[in-house]
Amino acid sequence: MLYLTCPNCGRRTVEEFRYGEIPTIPESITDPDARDLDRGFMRTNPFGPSVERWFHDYGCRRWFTVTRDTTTDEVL
Amino acid sequence: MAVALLRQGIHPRGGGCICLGGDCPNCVVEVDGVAYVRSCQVAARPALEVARQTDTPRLPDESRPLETELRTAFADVVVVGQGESGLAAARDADGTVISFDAHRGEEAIGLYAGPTVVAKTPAGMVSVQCSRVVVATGAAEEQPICPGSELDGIFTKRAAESLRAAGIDLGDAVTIDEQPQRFEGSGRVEAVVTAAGDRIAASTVVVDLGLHPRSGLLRMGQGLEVEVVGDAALTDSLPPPPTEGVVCPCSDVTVSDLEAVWDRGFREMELLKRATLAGTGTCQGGVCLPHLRSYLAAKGVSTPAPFTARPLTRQATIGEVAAGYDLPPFRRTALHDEHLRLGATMDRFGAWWRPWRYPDPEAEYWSVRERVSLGDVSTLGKMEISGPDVVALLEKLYPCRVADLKDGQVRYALLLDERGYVLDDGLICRLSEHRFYLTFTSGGASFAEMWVRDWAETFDLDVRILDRTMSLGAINVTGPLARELLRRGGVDSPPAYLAHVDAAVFGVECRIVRLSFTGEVSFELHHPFSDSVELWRRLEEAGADLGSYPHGLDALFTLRLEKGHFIVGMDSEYDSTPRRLGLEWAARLSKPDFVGKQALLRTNRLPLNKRLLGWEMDGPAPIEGAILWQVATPVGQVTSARYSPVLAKTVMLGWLRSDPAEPEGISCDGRPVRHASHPFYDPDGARARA
Amino acid sequence: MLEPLEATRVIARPAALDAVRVSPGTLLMRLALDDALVIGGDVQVDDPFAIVVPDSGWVAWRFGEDQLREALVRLCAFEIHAGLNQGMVAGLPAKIWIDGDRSLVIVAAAYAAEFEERFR
Ligand SMILES: [Zn+2]
Repeated sequence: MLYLTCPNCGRRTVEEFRYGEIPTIPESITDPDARDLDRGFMRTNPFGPSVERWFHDYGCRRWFTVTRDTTTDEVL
Repeated sequence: MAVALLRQGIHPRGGGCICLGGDCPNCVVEVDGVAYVRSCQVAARPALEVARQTDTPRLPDESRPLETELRTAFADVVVVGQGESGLAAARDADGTVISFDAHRGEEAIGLYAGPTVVAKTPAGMVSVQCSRVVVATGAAEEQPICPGSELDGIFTKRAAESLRAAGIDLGDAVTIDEQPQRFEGSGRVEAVVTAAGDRIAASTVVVDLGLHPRSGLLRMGQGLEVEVVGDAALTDSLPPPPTEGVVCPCSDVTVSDLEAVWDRGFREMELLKRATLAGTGTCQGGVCLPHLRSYLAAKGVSTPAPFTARPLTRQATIGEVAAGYDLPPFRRTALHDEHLRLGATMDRFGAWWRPWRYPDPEAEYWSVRERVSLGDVSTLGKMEISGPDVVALLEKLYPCRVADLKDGQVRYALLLDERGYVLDDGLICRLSEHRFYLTFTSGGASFAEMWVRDWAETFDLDVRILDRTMSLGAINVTGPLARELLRRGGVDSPPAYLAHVDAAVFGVECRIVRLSFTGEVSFELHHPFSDSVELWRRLEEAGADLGSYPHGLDALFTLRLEKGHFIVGMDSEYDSTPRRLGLEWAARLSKPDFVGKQALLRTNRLPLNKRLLGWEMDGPAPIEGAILWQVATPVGQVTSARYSPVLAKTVMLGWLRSDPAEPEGISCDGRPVRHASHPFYDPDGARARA
Repeated sequence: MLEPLEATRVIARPAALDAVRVSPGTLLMRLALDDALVIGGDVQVDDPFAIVVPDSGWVAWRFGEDQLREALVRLCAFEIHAGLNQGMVAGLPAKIWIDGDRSLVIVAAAYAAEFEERFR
C-alpha cells in the first residue's frame, strides 16, 4: 500500500492520486529532433529515486511534486 | 471447534497431525458454507453448520451475506500476537498501540508498505496504519514427516496439553521427541516406529519435535519498520531431512515428488516451491517450510532461505478480500430521473449514466432532423478560466488561434499532446478579455483539469481555473424549430452560429452556446445544476406542440456520423494526428508555439500512412470495428457505422492504410464500400448555420 | 437528511483568498490555496481575475460529529481531523467538515445517489 502526502490535504492512499511523469531527457542526446522524440516516447523507468508529479484526484485536485524511491515506494 | 469435534471422536479432516495452533491444514472444515476454515481458530457456537471439506470445496451459497466490513484504524505501534512477549511489547511501546490476539480470533494476514497491517477479526476486517509493527507470533511446533503422518490420533505436544486440559482422555498416548520412521495403522494410528527403530503400539501419539518461528509476517515485512520479539525471533534450526512420506499436506507433495523435481533441475527453494506447489496451500508453509529447507540443505544447498512470504498468510473469503473496496462510481446528471420518467434505457458511458434510447427511437432521430429535440449534454467537460495570462496559456494549449477570438465568439478546437496526437476536442468561448469558458468531451473531462493545471504550472502562468463539469448542467436544444422553442422560453436574440450569449430561458440563467454536432441548428444551454430539472420540464412542455422528443446517445451517434463528426477515442486512435484525421486546418502551424507543434512539424514531413475517411455502402451497417478489405487484403477498419435514415444508405468512418494509393475496390462485410467525402449530410452546413 | 447546498465557489489569488471577507455566519471551506467553497453568505475577494460563481453542484448531509466519525471508520482510509478533510470516502471524492453538531459530508450532486447507497 503506497501512501502519498498531499501538501494540501494530508496523507492518503495512492488510489486517491493520479500519476504524472516528468520527462527526463538524457544529456547525451543533443540533436533537437532526437530530444523531442525522446521526450515524447521514451520512458526512463528509473530504478531508485524518481521525481514525479501526482494529482490529488479525490481531494483538492491540485498537482504536487514528490521524490519517490521506486525500489521501496518510500517518499524521500 | 476442533476441540469440540475431537471430543466427539471426530477428526476434523479425517486424519493428520493436529496442532491446534493454526499452523497446519489438518483441521480445516467448511463452516456455514465457507471452506478452508481452521476449526482450531474458530469458537464453537450453537447452530454453526460444520461440514468436512472436500477436495473441491463448494462456493458459498448466495443466500449468505458475503460482504465484510473494513475498518481503518491508526496507531503508533501494532503488536501481532498476545503471548507473553506480545503483551510485554504492547505494554512497553510508546504511543498508541493496537494489538491482535489470535486467541480472540484476530489474525494479522497481511503486512504492507506504510506499514499497514491488515487483520481478520470476528468483527470484520481491520486495516491499521502505523509507524512500527511488532511481530510476536510465537513459534509453531514441528510436524512429523514420514509415512503414516496422515493417520488420525497424532497430536503435537501443545495440542495434547490443550485437549487434556479440556478434559479429553487421550488414552494410552505415547510421546516421541524425534521424527519417527513411520506411523502404522489404518485410519487411526496403531503404532509408531521411532527413529531408533522401536515399534511402540499406541492409539494416540504425541509428537514433541521442537519449535520453528512463525516467520511469515516478518518475512512479508522486509524493508518495513518491523521488529520481532519472543519465540518468533528464534533462530530456526533444521529438522532431520525428510526421507519418505508427505512433506506438504496441503498440496499433497511427497518426498519422492521433491526428488523428481530436484532431478529435473529445480534446485533452489523458490523453484522447488513453484515446481511442486509445496508451501502454496492452506498453511502457506506452516508445515513444510522447515522440512523443505532441511531437504535442500541435505542436498548440499548452503543455508537455504525460506521462500518469499506474500499476503495473505491465511485463507480469506472473497468478501474479506474485497472489504473496503468500492466499485468506481458512476455519475448521474441532474436529469437522471427525468430520463427514467421518460422511459429511457440508461447506460454507463465514460464516468456517467446516460440515456441510450427513449421508447421511440424513430421519434428521437426525426425530431432532430425535422422538428426539435432535447439532449442531455450535462456530461460535457466544462471549465471557467481567467487571469492575466489566460490568453498566453490557451495559445499554448490549443493548436488553433485563441487571441483573435472576440467576446461572445466560440471556436471549435482540438487538444493535442506533445506527440501531436489528438487528446480531446471541444469549444473555446471567450467571455471577456481575460475570461474564457471551455468545453471538453464527456470522456476528456476527467483529465482536462489535470491537463490544463499541469501546463499552467509548467509555464508558470497566472491563471484561475475552475472545473464546472459537475456544477453545471447542459441541455442541447436542436432541430429546425430550436429557435422557436428558445423564443417561447423568452430568448428573442439567440446567438449566431459560433457565438454564445448569456440569457434567461424560462427564467433559468443560461449560457447559450451555438455550434452543432447533430447537423441541425443547435443551442447548448449551460445552466446551474440545481435548475436542470426545471429547465428540462419547461422546454419539454413548451416543445410538445412543436413535436419535440428527446434524443439519447444512440440517436446522437447516428446524427453526428451523418455529419462526419469524429468522436475522440471512438474514431480517433492513440496516435491520431490532425493530418491523419483530415483536420489539418485545426492546427495552425504558423503560430509561434503550442503543445504538439514540434511533433506535427516533424510528422508532417513523413508519408501519410493512414487516414480516417468517410465511407458509404448499401444495406445495413456492418459491425463497428469491421475490417475493410481490398480484395483479400485487409487495408483498414470501420470505427463508426450507422444506417442513415435521411440518406437511406449506410455511412461510416474508418481508417485506411496507405498501401492502396486509391481507395478502390474496397469491401466490408462482403459488400462493396465506396469512399465518400464527409459530411455525408448537408455538406455545406447550411442547416446548422440556418 | 440530504440537502442541496447553495454555495459560492471562489477561485482567487491565494493572498486575496487569505484576506477574503465573508458575511457573518458564513462557512468558508478552503479547498486549496486558491480555492474556497463558501456556504450561506456573501463573499468579497480582492482579485480582479477571481472566479466567483454560484455553485449548486454539491449536496450535503448533516451529522453529529460522533456519529459521523464512527461511520467514517468504515468508509475512509485516512485520519479525520477537525475542520475540512478532503479525500476518498466509500470510493467517492468527498469533503468532510468536522465541527461538532454542525459536521457535514459534502459530495458532488452527480454522486449523491451513489453516495447515499454506499453510506450506511
Ligand atoms: Zn489534496
